[in-house]
Amino acid sequence: MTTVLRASGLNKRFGATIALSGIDLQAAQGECVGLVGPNGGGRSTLLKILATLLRPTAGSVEICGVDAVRAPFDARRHLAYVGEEGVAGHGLSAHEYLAFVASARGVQSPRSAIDDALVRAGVHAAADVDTLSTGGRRRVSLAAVLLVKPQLLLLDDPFAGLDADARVAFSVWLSEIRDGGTTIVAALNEDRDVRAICHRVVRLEVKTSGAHRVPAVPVVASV
Amino acid sequence: MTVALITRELIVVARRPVLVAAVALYVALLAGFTLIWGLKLPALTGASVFEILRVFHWGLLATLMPWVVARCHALDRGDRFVMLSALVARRPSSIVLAKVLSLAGVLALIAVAGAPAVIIAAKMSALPFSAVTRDLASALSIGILSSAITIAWILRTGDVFTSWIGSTVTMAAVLTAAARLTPAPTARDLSMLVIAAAVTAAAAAWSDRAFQYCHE
Repeated sequence: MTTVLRASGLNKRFGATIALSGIDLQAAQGECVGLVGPNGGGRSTLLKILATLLRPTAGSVEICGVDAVRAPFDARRHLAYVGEEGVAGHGLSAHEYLAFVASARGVQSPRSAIDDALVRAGVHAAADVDTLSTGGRRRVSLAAVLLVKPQLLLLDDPFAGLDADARVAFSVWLSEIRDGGTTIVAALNEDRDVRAICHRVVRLEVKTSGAHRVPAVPVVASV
Repeated sequence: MTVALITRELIVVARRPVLVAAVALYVALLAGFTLIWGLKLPALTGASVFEILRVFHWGLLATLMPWVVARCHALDRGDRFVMLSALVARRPSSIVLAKVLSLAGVLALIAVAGAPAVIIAAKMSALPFSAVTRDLASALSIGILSSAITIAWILRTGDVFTSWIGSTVTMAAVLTAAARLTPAPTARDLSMLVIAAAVTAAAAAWSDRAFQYCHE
């Protein structure tokens, strides 16, 4: 099966703090990898590096054959990221926001496809994105990237702020696009979410030694 | 795909109440100046109403247009700019170009809104209609220059007020230099367009470096 994501020897330092060290990660097409572990374990940092939003201190990232460290802008064509940062709507409605993202990504999305995505996400088409709740903005973010159907989907705690029904709905939706060939790497906190969408998990541990933080070590295990 | 970025920017700008206020203020000031100066006040220097209006018009545009750009555009700064670039999978320079083009279009509408007052001033000064079209061409050039300079300031400072003040001062300096160095209207307008293109290119190149990654 085609390898979509290949990261090796990833290190990240913020000043004197070691956030990640020696991380190796691979994901094949249509595979869902869950990143689990305690808060502060470096999951968000790892996802941001994979999403080309942060530059690794050392190591390499290859996304769909593109060197994401040397050519981050080229790598971004193959991926989409949803993080804790909320969407900036600037007064756009949910429908306009999805249409904008789809059009900018070159995705041919007829009006009906956007309407269907909004119904599925449980967001009113005319809702002002900026005035939505945290959960509402998360629904819009997820609906936008799911509409795009990237080759690699990177999700940082995607179900944060979602109610139980939305959690189930997005789990099903994510499973569908995963089965359609999209590779997913997601930082997850709940076991039920891991069981719902992941094929395997990578656990990032934090160990402390004196005043220094020992690098996170990935532990691969089957779900 | 850049069309999507331009469309987004235009939707955002069109919904700003500040835009309507700016157009109303611009038309009112231009018409008021034309009528009051043309009908009530004598031209002390021997200059025609049209020539006096042009100086006022340029000063007004140099102040108002950066204000419109700074207040109306979709303010994506810092990490939000990086996130937007990642979301749409486009280089930051594409976003900068889309902002400059869309806001230049909006400023062109403002420039056209002032045309009736310019026509009245030309009639008062017994000038042909070609004087109006030349003035309109200059106003459009100033609009493109304003858009480029203000977006460049916003990218650098990320602050609306500082960007407005900075771009107004820059505009005043460029317009004064253009008026003194190139008295011929066509050459003057072309020089403004060349400066606008250079500023946009520099801002776009800088944004590709500055907004490649999020802050750490």
